[in-house]
Amino acid sequence: MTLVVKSDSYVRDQIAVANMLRDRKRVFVDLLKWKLAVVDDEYEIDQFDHAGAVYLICSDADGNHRGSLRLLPTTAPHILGSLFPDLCDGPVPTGPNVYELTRGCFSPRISAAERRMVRNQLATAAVEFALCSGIDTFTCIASGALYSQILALGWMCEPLGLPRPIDRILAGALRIAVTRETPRLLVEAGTYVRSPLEMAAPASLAA
Amino acid sequence: MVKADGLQDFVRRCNLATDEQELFALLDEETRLLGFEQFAMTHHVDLSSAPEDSITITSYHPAWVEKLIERRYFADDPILSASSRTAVGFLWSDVGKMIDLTDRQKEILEMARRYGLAEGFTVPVHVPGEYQGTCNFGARSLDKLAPDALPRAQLVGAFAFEAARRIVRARRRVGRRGDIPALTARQLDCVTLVAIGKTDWEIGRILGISESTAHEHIEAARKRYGVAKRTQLVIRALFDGQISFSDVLQ
Repeated sequence: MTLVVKSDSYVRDQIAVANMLRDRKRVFVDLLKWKLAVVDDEYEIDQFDHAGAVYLICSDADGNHRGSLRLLPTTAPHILGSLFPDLCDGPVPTGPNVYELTRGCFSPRISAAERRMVRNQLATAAVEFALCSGIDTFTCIASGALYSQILALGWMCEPLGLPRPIDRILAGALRIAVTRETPRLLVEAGTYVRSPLEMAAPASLAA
Repeated sequence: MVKADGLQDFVRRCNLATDEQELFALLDEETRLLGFEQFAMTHHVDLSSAPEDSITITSYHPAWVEKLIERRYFADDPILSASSRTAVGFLWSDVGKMIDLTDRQKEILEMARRYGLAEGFTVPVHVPGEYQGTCNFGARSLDKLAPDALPRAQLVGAFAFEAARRIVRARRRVGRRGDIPALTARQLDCVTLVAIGKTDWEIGRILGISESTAHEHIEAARKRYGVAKRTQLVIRALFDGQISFSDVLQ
């Protein structure tokens, strides 16, 4: 199941959120050695985990975190705009219809094949969430092999600028277009994997 | 100053390309703009009997390509071997630092030089679950490289490879039959449940709809595919990626 968590549903979904933040610490801090703040020795939380952030959280039947993605509104501080605007040749794309995909994270406990599945589920969920929330553009920063993997999902991408080294790894910024055609592009690429998407009420999504 | 400006145009043209010839022309032009002379975009497969879902588009000298295949150089190619060690592009002059070159590999590099491939840059394209691939740009020397040629080549390689993957997929679909029929979300739910052996009545209970509504969804999906039996519907939907094996096998 993929949960859509917004700040107004933190309390209801606090276990899923806590499991995600634990895995983010394991993956980004312990495994990848990113220099990020850790809260209570257990959770990776940064300044962008603010009230506007939306999380897509994929869990197994027992509620264990399998993978997650953070969507940041670009009308508030976000990574491309605040930390790496140089990755964009022109102005950083922002606006109410533009969200940034960040902190794509997989549980270190799942296999490579499961990771592909969860990756597809999260991309599919992101597209569905975008289509029902009026989002038409995702931006993201991808480094190393991740860049090709994002293109390989089959959605329409274009570069926002030339890749540059960040922490000695070449990283580039991308724009992903989301339209009614996007689910079909994912289907054609074999990456469209629907999982039950549990969302907050449409009324609060629109708010 | 918009450095990736020309690249965005290249990406758009890649997205519109419908066959390998168009992609070849785009890559050939871009290779020259970058300041290289020859390119090869390829999956790491046995080139003497390449699978039909693999990609090879190249402007390398035909005599060199023939040698690569005839002498099975591709199997020991030091550039391809080095490319599996890294996720980002590298200069061929750095290959010696990435892997220990065997005598045969030194011989391959020397032979390539004679065909105008003395220097070059290789962009690895690793997509999990698929053949490893590379986009290679070569020249007699790097003297004519455009400003920012290497990061640009990185993007050209990544986007061109994705365009090639899309073209190969489209051809495979056409080879089987026409376009993928569009199924509604509800039809997909029903087909997935058919695939795991549920009856109309069970599907109705699971989805909270009536047995006859479930039946109608499945029949509508069957008609969109133009197949006679439910089994055929399930198989076609699986092969098209409309429903996934994981949905069915979980």
